[in-house]
Amino acid sequence: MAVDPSDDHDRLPCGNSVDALLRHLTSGEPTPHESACEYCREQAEELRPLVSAVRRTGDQEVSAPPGLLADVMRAVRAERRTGGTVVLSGPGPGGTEVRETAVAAMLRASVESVPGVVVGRCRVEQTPEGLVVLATARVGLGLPIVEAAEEARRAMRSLVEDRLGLRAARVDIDVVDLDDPAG
Amino acid sequence: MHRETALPESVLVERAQDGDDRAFEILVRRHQDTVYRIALRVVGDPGDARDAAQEALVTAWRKLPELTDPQSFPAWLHRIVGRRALNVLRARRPEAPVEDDEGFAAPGPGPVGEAIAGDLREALFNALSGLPPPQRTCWVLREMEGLGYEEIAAIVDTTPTAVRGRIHRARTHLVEALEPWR
Repeated sequence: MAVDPSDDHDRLPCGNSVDALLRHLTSGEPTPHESACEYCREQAEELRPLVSAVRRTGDQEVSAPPGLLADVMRAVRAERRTGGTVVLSGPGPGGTEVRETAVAAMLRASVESVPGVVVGRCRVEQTPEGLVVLATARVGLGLPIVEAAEEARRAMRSLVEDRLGLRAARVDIDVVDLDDPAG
Repeated sequence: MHRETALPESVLVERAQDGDDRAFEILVRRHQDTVYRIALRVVGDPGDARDAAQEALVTAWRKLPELTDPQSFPAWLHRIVGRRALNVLRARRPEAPVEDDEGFAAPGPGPVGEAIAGDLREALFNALSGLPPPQRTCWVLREMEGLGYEEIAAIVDTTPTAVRGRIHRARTHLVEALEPWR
């Protein structure tokens, strides 16, 4: 470990830093050196009340107050990011608009039928050529990536064409990772 | 819903980045205790900590599209709440110097005397409240939350070396304040 000269004032004559000593004492795991060294032991004695105060504070379970989650989500939903909409063309005059985020949610859900593929980011854009879908996905370990991505693309394409009645100009799926169950 | 809670965190982060508020709700549920705890330890008061935690989480929602690495979401969130809590401390103590390199302000009214009657933990919090906001924030994030110098430097907007100095000065003050317990 490089010795930072700015740390000098924080070092004991044995070279150990007081910050490191304090951390080891509060975690209850002093190094063999710290247990034996007279400078460290002397310093540890001085730090004793602070160590037990920090340890007691650390033992205290802190939970978020009830209602915090609800308040946060209320604020979040009140200022829902203003996204664009996708216009669905039906027969006759008038149109139906669906939020892009809602379309993205439908697209993600459509891939739930494909085993081992999980969609993360998913953005859509309506262009004169049709709907453009840009998504990222994780594919389960051991699955053939190209085939799995192709199946996910088919599911999305079918949603765009069959359920929304739009042309799918492009469906890009970027496989960003292999799905590690430990995630 | 059940399926979603089982999703890897980075997937939830990506979905929330694209405006999926249900994914964000799962993230808040998962991290709210830590966010609140950091706020509480920095500001000391439950009411202020709740406000700081709420503002930090709403800020996180707004800024989420800027986050480039979904894996770094927890550290990023801790930075937001650390910064928010420091601002609460600063706003509360307009008389405290913004730069604390002159040393710490005088301790609050009789922290030592109060502390003898009280509990050691309370004594620590009394002693902490005698520190200038940046010193207090640095110390709490390092010694109670285990953050690294670099991370803390980003939160309090200074260099890692200055963070080390503040932690050192804070510790000197705290050791003195807790002297009666030896």
